[in-house]
Amino acid sequence: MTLSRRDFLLKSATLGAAGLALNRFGLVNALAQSGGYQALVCIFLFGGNDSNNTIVPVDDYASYEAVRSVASGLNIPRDVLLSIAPPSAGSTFGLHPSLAALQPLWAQKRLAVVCNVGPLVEPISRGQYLGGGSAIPVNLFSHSDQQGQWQTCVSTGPSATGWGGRTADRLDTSATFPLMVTVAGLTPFTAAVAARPIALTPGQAFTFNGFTGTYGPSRSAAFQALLQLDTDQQLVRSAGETTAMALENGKVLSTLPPLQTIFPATILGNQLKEVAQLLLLNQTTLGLSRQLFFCSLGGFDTHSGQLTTQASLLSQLGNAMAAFDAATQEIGVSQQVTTFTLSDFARTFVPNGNIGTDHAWGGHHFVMGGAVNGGDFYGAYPILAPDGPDDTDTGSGARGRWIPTISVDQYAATLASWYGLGSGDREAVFRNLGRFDTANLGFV
Amino acid sequence: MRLQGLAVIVLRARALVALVAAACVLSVAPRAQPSGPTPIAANFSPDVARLVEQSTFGPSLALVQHVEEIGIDPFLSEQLTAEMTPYPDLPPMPSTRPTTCVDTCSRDNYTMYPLQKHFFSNALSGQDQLRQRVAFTLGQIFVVSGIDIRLSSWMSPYQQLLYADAFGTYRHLLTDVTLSAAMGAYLNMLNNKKLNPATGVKPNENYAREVLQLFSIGLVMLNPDGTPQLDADGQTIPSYDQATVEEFARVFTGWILAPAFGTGVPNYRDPMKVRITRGVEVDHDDGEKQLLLGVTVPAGLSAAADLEAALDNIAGHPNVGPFIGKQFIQHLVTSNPSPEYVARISAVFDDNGSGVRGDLRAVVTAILKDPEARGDAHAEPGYGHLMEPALFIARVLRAFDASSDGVLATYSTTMGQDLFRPASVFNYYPPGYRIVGGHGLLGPEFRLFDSAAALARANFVNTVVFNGIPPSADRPSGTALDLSRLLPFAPYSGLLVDELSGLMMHQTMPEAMRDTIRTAVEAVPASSALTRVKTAAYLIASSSQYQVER
Repeated sequence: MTLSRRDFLLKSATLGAAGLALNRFGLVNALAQSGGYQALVCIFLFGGNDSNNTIVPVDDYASYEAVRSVASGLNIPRDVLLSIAPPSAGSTFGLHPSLAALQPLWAQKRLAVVCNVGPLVEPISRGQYLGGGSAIPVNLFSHSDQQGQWQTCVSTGPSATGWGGRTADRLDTSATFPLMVTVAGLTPFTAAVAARPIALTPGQAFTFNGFTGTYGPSRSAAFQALLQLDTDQQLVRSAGETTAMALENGKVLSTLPPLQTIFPATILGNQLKEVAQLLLLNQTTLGLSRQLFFCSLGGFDTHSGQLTTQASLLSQLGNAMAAFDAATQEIGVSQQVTTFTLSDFARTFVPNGNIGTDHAWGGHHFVMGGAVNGGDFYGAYPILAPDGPDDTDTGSGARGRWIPTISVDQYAATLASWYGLGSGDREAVFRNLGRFDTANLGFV
Repeated sequence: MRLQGLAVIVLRARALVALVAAACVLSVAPRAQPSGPTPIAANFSPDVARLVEQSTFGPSLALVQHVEEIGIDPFLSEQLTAEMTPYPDLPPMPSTRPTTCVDTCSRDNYTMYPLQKHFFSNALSGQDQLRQRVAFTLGQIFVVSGIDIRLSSWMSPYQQLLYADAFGTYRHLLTDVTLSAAMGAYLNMLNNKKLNPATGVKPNENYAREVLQLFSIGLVMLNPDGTPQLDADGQTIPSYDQATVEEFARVFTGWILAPAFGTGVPNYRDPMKVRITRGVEVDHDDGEKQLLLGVTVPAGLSAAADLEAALDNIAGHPNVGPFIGKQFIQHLVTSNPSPEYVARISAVFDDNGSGVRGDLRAVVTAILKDPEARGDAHAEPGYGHLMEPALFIARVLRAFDASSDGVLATYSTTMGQDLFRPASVFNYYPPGYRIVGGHGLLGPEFRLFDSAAALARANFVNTVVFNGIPPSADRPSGTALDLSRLLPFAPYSGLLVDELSGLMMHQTMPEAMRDTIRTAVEAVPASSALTRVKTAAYLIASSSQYQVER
């Protein structure tokens, strides 16, 4: 089958609305991939989550408390931490108390933590970093750059495509519905050469109004016809392609199937509910063998007032993730759906004077799902010492910006390998992966 | 002398086309009346209509007629001196909403509602159109978000500041922005303190980093034409590093809010002030600091003197002209200005001709009068820019002389632009956003144009054109278009479409588009005149050809 998605779009655009609907389901059968279903769900924590207070050492609480003291304003008391005991670490840690909803998932081994991940050009020691001879990601500590590097796995400069998009380019053989769905707008993660994400607004009907009634059909036909014109004007063409995609997929999205699982009515809860409904829609109607979703939660740039802000955000994160996990079980795809977090960077271990923290580098991330080898840490938890062996900073002014020991490339490639990206494609999607020892970290 | 010779010829040619078009209609629709209404917008100078698109929230018939009468230069002078329609002075309120403050009290004081309403009301009918466009641009560069600055009475003074400074100097604006309470609270210069040796806590790096990255010089060294400077290895050259950020973080220490209006009612109206205890600036780090371009600020300066030196250092950096100037061009004219265009604007930024640096009035004037902005049409593939949601909404409504209460923010939000509440200091979209499949072409506003937004835009047009927005609890009068002027055009589909093309697209509607819309219009019987007009207005306003302003 060689009909590409773009061919299909062009073809379908010339058909009337009725012809389109008939064709859609014919093509579902023709192009549905054989083999099992798998989906990846990305949750981007915009602003840079302070993972120093997300996962705190319990056995070695003293090293934490030495800096994050009560007087610093950023202390999480030891007795409120939610205990987790990763076998590979050999000591006890605690989740932030707002993550209570995730603790059972850890116990069920459905939740793993990957420690001290960040964008890297190549493996780098503190000595190499301070020596200045090794390549480091461009514009380190800048929000926009580090957000891009997490999503593109390109740390040496701008990239036109994200690792989600490049993965989709290699796996999206569907002509019926986009493999990539974003419920949080357009981001570098879904940027691709050929594949295009469809964007949905959680909870809102996906219907073009005004195409019914006496003159609706003629107006609809003209609206569609205009989308095919003036394609030599790049900006006009780009807008037209996006509108055509919305139009083409509107019918199948106009009503999403309901779920039993109750989701929290929060920003992320609503997004993950929409994703879960699309997972169900795929089971009942779409029949894709791969899906990839992008969600996000903002507000993690806690330069001030961090304790209350982060507690609220982590509560939202944990509750929404737990509901989503329950929904995947309700739908019967919990083994086939893996959810993971990304974030700009972690934050300075040493606070600033506004009961906040500033931009840092490596941080800890969650991976959730039935296929996850959970209940453990992957990678080394950093040594919590300013001017210590993991810090970019030196001297008395050192603030504890941890140098990552796992690259985003390794983290992402592990997820993509589970997702079915073959080793050849893996090298193409993650061009920098070969510089690191381990291509698959084994957490899923 | 308002029209040049060529424009007059084009104008006459268009009139001829209109006549021929009318004749065509007659030949296929013999029952139509023998003579149509007199075209007005179809005979506008395209360049004048374009100027109005670029310098206001959209052409109305009367405004373009006005500019045709007085000419472009007098119009710009008029705009530069037009009386300001300021954001309202809102009463200071407690940071925590009193339990007695509910419904309209809560809406008016603890949400952006009154400011969003003012924004649209003023965009639709205010006389200070160019100032509004520039202030809207400034607000998207010097971003403060209502997500954190939650009270309308906290945000209003900041928006007033942007209005007031829109035609002043960059340096003056930078001071006002830096010392504003809203920015202070948003990026934490407020209450930023020098190193505390007892607890080890450090100065806050937030404002220091973002004022450099977003408000002034950007991440890399630029040529005057906006392209990055490259080193011998072809690599970009960072304009500062982490150490610079930490130095500026120390500069921005020592500032607190002006005295509160009452217990729990902070003062976001007045600029921040230095905290002084027993004659000592207790929170300010007065040590020596290494700033940009090798400049050192000596130890022992006051917080105010340190700040002056630091803002001079930033505002004097050669990157500011191309960095800020290019973004102004992108907001007003085109996403993809040529390097030459950027260089011409940088030169004006550096010197307005009277030796003044950063004169925003001169910069804006130069941007609008530049040869790359002017002309009847531009055919370059990347020329123009997608109207951002708020501009799109205002332009559609102004084209049809809408009456509106200005309560329209829910519509811009569904299109991705929650007014005064961008997700972060990085605005709704980055200036360097590249359109998908566009071979490197920039299209900042396309960051918001996903399939959900495409749907929302079409549905907004459907709502306002076919139904109007009815009054409701938060909508005193709703929004309604006035299409009556166009009814005489309804029997003549060609004349109708040309009149709308002149008003909405400065006559650049391609022939195939014109034919397509005429076919849809003619599917409606001529007796249903209003539906014909609505059909044409809907199809143009919802089209990509219209929404990409070129």
